[in-house]
Amino acid sequence: MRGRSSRGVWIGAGLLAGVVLVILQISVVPWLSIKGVYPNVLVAVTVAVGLHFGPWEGVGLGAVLGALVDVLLGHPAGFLMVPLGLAGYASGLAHRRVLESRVLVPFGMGVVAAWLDLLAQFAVATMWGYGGRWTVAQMRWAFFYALFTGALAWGFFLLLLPVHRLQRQERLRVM
Amino acid sequence: MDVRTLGGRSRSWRRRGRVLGGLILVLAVGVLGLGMALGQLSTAGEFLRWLVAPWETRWSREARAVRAQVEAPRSVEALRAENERLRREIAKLTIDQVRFAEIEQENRRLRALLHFTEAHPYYTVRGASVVGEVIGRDPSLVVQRFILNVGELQGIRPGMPVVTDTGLVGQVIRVHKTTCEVLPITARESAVNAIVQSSRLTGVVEGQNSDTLVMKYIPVDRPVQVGDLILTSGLGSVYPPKLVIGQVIRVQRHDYDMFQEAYIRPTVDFRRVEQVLILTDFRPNPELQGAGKGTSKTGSVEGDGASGDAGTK
Repeated sequence: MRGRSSRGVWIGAGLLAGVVLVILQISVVPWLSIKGVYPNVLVAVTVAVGLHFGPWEGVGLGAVLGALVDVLLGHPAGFLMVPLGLAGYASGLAHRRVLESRVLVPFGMGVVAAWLDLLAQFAVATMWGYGGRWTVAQMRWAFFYALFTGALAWGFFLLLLPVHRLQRQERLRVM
Repeated sequence: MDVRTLGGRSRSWRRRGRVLGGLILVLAVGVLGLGMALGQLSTAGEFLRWLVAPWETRWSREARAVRAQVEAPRSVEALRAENERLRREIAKLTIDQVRFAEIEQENRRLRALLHFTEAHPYYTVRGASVVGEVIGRDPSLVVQRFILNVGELQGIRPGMPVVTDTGLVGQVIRVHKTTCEVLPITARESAVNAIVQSSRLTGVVEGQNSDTLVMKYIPVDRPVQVGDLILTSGLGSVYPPKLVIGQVIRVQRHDYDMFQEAYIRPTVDFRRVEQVLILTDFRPNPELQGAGKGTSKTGSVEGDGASGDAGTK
């Protein structure tokens, strides 16, 4: 009984944190841009969680965050949910390699996930009939955007390290 | 516990994780398909938007304040003020230049057409406006939208033009109780009927999801010069006429083409748009609005706010 209620609290807290992250991405991050480029906090957090906890958690968080933005901004259902879910899944697959390099893996995965997210968005937008060609300026923007998001993913990865350690200790104790 | 058992457990846990992840992904794709069939999750979105709008306003103000602090070290405060003053002056002079040139052109035309009367009284903008504050931007690269902190309660309706003191920003496409969404002219779905101020050549200004716009379908009768000002033509009645869009920075013209293209730098700095005016008294021509509905390429994405022949592609 207690386990179930504590799970509910965790889910509630997670959803609240998700809403806070989404508001941060929509209303705060654009104002903190450098030369018009700003990172994607949602992709960065999804990558960090995926790397630490695996594909199930990565895709779950990505899909929830994406769905929140879709609902909030009136996007077609799944417009950001699928790309963010994909990004979370891809980073979760690198879960086993995460301790090989604590800089390169999270940073590289952040860059890859940012691109994956963009390409998936583009594919979904084309499905919906408002895709189109990418301009050189957009490609340049996307390049710096991915680097920026990768750096942020690395930051979130470091922030989550203590949680990861605690979880591993807990798992070992149970076994 | 046996090491092999431990390894086996962790492997099965990993396999289960991958399978579950894949399942969620399949589910997400399913939701996407369902969304395509059913349209948007508007009711839930409406509620969530109402819930988070105050927080968005507050946090975006805080973020803007932080940005202002970072961008303006105290030692260069005077320089910043001077820069700001000069910017305002340039903006004012640009507007004056446009206004004087327009008056001159109007004078010339009226002399030639003494008995001309305006056929479309709907185009009149009586100056009523609502000031909106940009409180958010769509995080997607593909979809460009601004979120403003004014909505249905402030009298905002879909289709209303949005401007700043330096020029045209876009059009309101969706309205919620206390917020609304604006499609900027830089968005790929945006198309504005426009006119080259000096030569009166007409065309359609389209967004490219980047800092520049492209004016297409300009007849090749007369050349378009770099530096020419581009204004809204008012054709199609989606936007009022004579609003400044931008300045030509490059012209593309081939001998074999029927039309020439001009690349335009908007007068509005879209990265820094903070406050905007929504022209609430602009009356779009209802007949043309209705006729334009069929041409909207975005369909359910834009809802009824995207009507108009050149409002959205």
